[in-house]
Amino acid sequence: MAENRAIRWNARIKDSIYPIATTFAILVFWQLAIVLFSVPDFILPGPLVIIKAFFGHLGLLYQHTLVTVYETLAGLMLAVVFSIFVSIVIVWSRGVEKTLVPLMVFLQTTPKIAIAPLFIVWFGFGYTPKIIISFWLAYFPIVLAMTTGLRDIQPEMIDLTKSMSATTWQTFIKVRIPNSLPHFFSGLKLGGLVAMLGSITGEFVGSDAGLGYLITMANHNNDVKLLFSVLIVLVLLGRLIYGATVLTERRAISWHVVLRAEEEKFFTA
Amino acid sequence: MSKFKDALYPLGAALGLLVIWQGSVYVFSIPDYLLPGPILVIGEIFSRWSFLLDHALVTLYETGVGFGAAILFAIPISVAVVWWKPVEKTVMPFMVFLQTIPKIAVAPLFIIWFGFGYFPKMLTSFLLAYFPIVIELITGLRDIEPEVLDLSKSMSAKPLQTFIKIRIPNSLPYMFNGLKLGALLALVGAVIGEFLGSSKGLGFLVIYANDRLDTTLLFADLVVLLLLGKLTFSVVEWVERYAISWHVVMREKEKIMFST
Repeated sequence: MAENRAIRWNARIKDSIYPIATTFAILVFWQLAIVLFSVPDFILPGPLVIIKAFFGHLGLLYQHTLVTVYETLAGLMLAVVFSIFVSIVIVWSRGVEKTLVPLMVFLQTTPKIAIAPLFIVWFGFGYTPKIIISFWLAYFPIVLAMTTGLRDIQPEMIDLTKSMSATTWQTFIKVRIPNSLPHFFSGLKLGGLVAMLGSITGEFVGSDAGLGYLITMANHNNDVKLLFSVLIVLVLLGRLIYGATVLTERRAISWHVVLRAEEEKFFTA
Repeated sequence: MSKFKDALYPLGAALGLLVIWQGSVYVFSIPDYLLPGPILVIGEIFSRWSFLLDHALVTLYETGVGFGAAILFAIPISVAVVWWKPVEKTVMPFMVFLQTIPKIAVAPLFIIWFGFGYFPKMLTSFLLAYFPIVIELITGLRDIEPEVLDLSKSMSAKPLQTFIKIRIPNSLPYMFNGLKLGALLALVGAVIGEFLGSSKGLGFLVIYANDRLDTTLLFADLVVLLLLGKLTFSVVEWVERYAISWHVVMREKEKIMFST
């Protein structure tokens, strides 16, 4: 067991040499090109300048990060609560399923983010519209995954519970809910990412705080160094939200086979 | 017949919503700048259709170029990744990593570099559409059932033959999945690029209507965007149905797509 682990870690380290070396080479090449062609900072700053700007703006970045994190988490929480409620209703009632699921699947294939400016008209420039946009984007993947998980049980399992004369309620608690958890987490991972996209886009459209606002400001001032610093924060934040969900998943459903799979595919904007 | 019956539920609900919407706008006399009724929005679409069409064509153009470029780049890269192991080991971790970062945040940078014209929007569009296409293609080209590969080996097929006869057909359903999502994200990319700085396109029109509190125009614009999204998606679906009508995927239920 321990030996297996060591071998796996060795393989992982070996595999990570390729991307790390490439990243390093790109950074060196980038810095050299900036120095050689004396590219001005307002077009493309070198990595060293960006790192310096990142640490120089640490206080500012922190302050705006908190705003974006708050909006994202609030939107995500709302989406989770709503999704659980709606998916349970969908699974309970065939009529609701037939009505809601096609509508939601339809909306899934439209550019939902375009509605963001409307929320600014309705709810002003504060946190509320961003929270609602986050919610609006995160809701769909979570509720559809949750519905699939609660609904699509192997028929044998249902037969088994029936043969043991379990009540509908018992089947729900003991079979449907455990079955839905892996789906739920899969939806939550994507939901967290799009919730962040939602709050950033909301901040793009109209706000006076948050990382999206900071990007717009940096853009107007042609402050490309700051822009890159915000991008670094966004990359870290995206990874953090994703990582936190994966960690929770690992704790919550350590028994499930999904955990043995590779990193899932997520395509976000 | 049952398909028709199944469609009654969502259509009925949608119609009900529209009636309630129109009714409450009328009963509570909600001002147009807050929430225009559906009849007003439909009227706006018809009375300004040529204006809306002009902007829709701009967005469609940006989306099309971004999407096309994404396909053109994705094909050689996915082939290289599947053909050479070191390329896979180098490129794949980057792509998996880049999936989880908010790529639209780079869009403002493109505006600084390339100005307010079409190009930065095409670039954003390309950036968003590229990843689903290339990653699905790689998955499709790479993940072949081992038995099939053994079979082709036992019949002493050359690598190129295996590639053409086995890997490429296997990759098609995956590719179309990536294309469907890619088409949607390409549209999202163009719209967000227009949000950030432009003077044309449906995304620009959203901001323009928003600034003037012309909520009726905003709704009309959103309806056009929704239709455009449906259109691009359906075109890819239609091509898929023709191209891989033989595939088992086509017999399955509608797959759920997640986009922003």
